[in-house]
Amino acid sequence: MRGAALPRQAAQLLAVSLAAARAYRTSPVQAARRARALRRAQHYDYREALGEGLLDPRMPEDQRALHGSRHATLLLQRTLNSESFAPIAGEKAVFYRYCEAVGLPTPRLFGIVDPAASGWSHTGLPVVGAEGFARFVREDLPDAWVIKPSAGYHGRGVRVLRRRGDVLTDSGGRTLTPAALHAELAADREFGAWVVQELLGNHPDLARLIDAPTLQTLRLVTLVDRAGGVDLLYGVLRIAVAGGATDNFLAGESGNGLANVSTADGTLEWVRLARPGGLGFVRAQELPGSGIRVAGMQLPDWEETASLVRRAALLFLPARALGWDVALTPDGPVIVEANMFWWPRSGPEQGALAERMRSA
Amino acid sequence: MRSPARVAQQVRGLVVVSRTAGSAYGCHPLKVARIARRVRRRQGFEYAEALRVGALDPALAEAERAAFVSRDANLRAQGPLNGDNETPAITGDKTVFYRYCALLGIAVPEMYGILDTRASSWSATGRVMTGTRDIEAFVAEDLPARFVVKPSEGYAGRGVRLVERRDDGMLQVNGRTTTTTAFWSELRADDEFAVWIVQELLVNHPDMNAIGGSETLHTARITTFVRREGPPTILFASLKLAISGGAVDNFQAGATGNAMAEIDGEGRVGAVYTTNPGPAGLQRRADNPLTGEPLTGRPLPGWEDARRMVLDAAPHFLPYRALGWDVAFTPGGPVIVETNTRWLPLPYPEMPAIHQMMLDEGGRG
Repeated sequence: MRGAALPRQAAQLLAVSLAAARAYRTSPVQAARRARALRRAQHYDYREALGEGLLDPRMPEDQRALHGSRHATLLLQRTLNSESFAPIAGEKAVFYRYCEAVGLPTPRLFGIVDPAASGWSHTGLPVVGAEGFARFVREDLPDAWVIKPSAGYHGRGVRVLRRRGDVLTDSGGRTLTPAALHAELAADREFGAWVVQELLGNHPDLARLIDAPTLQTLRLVTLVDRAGGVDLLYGVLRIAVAGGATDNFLAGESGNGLANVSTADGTLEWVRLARPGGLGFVRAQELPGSGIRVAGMQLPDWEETASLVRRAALLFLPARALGWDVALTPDGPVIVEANMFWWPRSGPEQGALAERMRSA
Repeated sequence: MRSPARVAQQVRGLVVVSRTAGSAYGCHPLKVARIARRVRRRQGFEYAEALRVGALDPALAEAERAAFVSRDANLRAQGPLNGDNETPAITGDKTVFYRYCALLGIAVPEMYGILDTRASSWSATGRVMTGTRDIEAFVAEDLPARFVVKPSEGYAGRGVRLVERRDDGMLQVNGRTTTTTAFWSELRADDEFAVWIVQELLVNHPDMNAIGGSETLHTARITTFVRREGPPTILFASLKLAISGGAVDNFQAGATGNAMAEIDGEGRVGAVYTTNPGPAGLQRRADNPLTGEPLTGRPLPGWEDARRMVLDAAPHFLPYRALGWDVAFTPGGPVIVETNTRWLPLPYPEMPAIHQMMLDEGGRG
């Protein structure tokens, strides 16, 4: 109800304006006016505008106007992406089986676990209860594997596990038994069903970018035009410089980097990193810490990767604007996810991107 | 806590059902009311449901009455076997289901397109559709003269339309004459469904026409089960006889006016069930209620192929373990029309044993 939302919005506007005023050494009233204008004209949430660095008074107005909010992008995506494909794109338990059937390379699916009901093992048998899960882990899985929520997002709940004897170790070094893991999954209040799949590794060209085994994926967004042609709208490579279990960027909050990819030839252009202090982003040619230069770097298997997502886009019609997460592995590109409602990348390039979606 | 309004509604329901059953069975309504309360407490029956399936007949022995399985009890047993509303089903959305089956080589009706009234639509020819003109071109150029349109998230036959494109370009939709533009507007105005699939119109094998008539497609419901160990098995099978003259063959405990027949392990028609004259109970008979044609013992055409098809398909849909497949018997062989993760029990003698087995397999026995 709007009446109830108003005080919450006012409080948020106040907090955001004060934060922007502190960060940019400007008046809170000026910051508030800018935040209000962004909300009215571009559907920006106050906190989103702050996080994107759009309340910086030094940013030229014409540059600010080219940015697109998540909400504005979502409205466009809804006109392009049929909700009929939400179960395929949104639920990994469905997505991986569909991709396997259609012949798209995805991580091998070893099973589906539902602690409250029956699960499934790739051996063809149901997996029922904690005992059945322990048997599944012991007999049906390789030594290293990944378990993640079927309806997961932003890397939430992802666990990379290695088994030695009857003990599992996660990527943080924590040890637990299969029964304890089953109990953890059963106690999860957000997710009910989990997929168990192959642990993928980075192609050597990407592995050298960080000092961790975290999988780094490429986000490629495809747009199918009315004539059935497939365009690559944009591409970014997530670089897991923070060293966690996932490569998610999370608007810079994760500490990871996001490298812009030229969709013309698959070279990296620059890497976006959260600005110290958390407001806005900086563009760099090199990775922080290691100093490894990413600008100009050629992604491995680029032609094969671009061709893969173009082919996949046609297999997911009538959804027309999908964000594909692709792992570049030593054995070639592998599709890890498809997103119907992807976040736009930050930057003034959003204006042109939104226009292409609007006219599609 | 139950609200007073809900309690009042239940009491009203009990009164209506008791009076109806009292009149149908020639006994005092209070006697039936006590039975209705008992089957509700003990077996989870809604009052109207108990009336429809005949569980309120005072002449039944108590052991016979206790053998009835309610919709609610059946769904509770299915829960832990079929995802418990947590694991997403490939079967849930027909746009996904048909594509998945086709990719696996499972016989399903050919899909001609997906119409999304709020976003873009798609034709199997590759055409991307974004407006009325595109839809008109799709109907005129990409479709055969007869086809089916149904909601991708439809259930119980809701929203199914049989469409015929006439030579003059007009459409016959479930017998009504309309234009493509008006038909598209009708789909866009639908409050319940936004996405529709356009698919092949299946026809009955001649032997099926002889069993149930040629007006509507008759499908068999074959229920498969995957145990913790061992290959998939068939729990039971039934034949839905579309004798009410509508577009679909759904039985819904007789509420639709259609009939249902048992199918034995050899694929032969067994007892036929239809509603009794009056709303209480089901009538068990040996013939087609409409034509009087004897049906008991009649073989279904392609039964063995149908049986093999659902048994082969079942593992591809795990972790869903108890699925109700609707199979059409066509001149070209059996075709899967849909599969159901929430299926209703039937008044079969073996249903209590099936129900108990499901409870045991799901760990809730």
